[in-house]
Amino acid sequence: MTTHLLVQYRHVCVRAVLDGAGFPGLILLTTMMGFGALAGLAGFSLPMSIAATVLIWGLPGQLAMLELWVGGAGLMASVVACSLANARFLLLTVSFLPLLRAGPQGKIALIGFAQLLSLNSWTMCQRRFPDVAESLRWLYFVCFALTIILFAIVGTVAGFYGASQLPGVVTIGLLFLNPLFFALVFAGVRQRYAVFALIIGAVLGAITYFLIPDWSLILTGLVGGSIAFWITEKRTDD
Amino acid sequence: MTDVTLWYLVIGSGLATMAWRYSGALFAASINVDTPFYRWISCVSYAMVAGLVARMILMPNGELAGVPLWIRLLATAAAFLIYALAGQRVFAGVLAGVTTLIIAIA
Repeated sequence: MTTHLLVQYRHVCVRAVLDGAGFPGLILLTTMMGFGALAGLAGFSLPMSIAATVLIWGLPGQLAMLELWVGGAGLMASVVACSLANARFLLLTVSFLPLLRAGPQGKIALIGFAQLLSLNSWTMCQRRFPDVAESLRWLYFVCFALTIILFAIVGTVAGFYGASQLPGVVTIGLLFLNPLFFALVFAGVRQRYAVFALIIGAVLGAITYFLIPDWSLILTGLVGGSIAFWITEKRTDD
Repeated sequence: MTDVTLWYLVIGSGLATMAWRYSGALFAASINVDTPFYRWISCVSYAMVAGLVARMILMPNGELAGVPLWIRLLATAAAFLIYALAGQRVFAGVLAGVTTLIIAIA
């Protein structure tokens, strides 16, 4: 395994852009095409569709907003639906921002980091950060996030103009990229507590979604995460 | 339905998501990475995200839902197998998984 420590600004930026322009970019392109197409059907203009992608920057919320709005639920209900579908960002920022401690810590920087964060960058950074010098991790994150936002915007525009008319088989293959990529990126995570949390979370996520879909994510996180934490702390004590 | 209302919808939804992000950022500021509390929060995040991924494979929505479960599982297994054999290359694994899926449904 090659684990160079990325210590130069330029190398970190290039690595981040290349990482972003691979599968993550393709995933954002594909999924945001879906969003762009639906937004167009819902009566959004192109600038509105792009603004939704950039400002909300979380597909589950974007889709929930559209679904409720198209269903005639009204402004407030649609906004609340978006917010609830994106509630995961609370946990993602809490667990992610401390990893950028060696970078800029001003108010504006932190707000910017929080706004750029998405599930893709959270995941990719967990895998890549061990290779990156601590003081430059924020740079890797920002370059990666900006790269995939670019892909997301292109996807939104393409979907808005009806470019999502790919053959069914190709679309399905592209959609499956998403979970596969995440699964394999996680396969490379090495910290012991993370490995336990991932395995327990995957099992629990499937079971709870089947039994109590509405509370599945919260329960999976709290229960699965706590079990993983407890196991790891116990083992470290030995 | 006016244009202005739709802009309210977009901006309102953006702000509503930002509320989570900024609460998280405020909270994060007081957390030290070397504490058990941070490790716990990390575990909770990892478990939640893993749950999401498992759900995307086992119980997807949209067009993927039309693909039989055994094909999705086969494709996932192929992805992990090739990933392991190819020296933990994510690219090779994902490619193998997606190819398996496409061949199986074509």
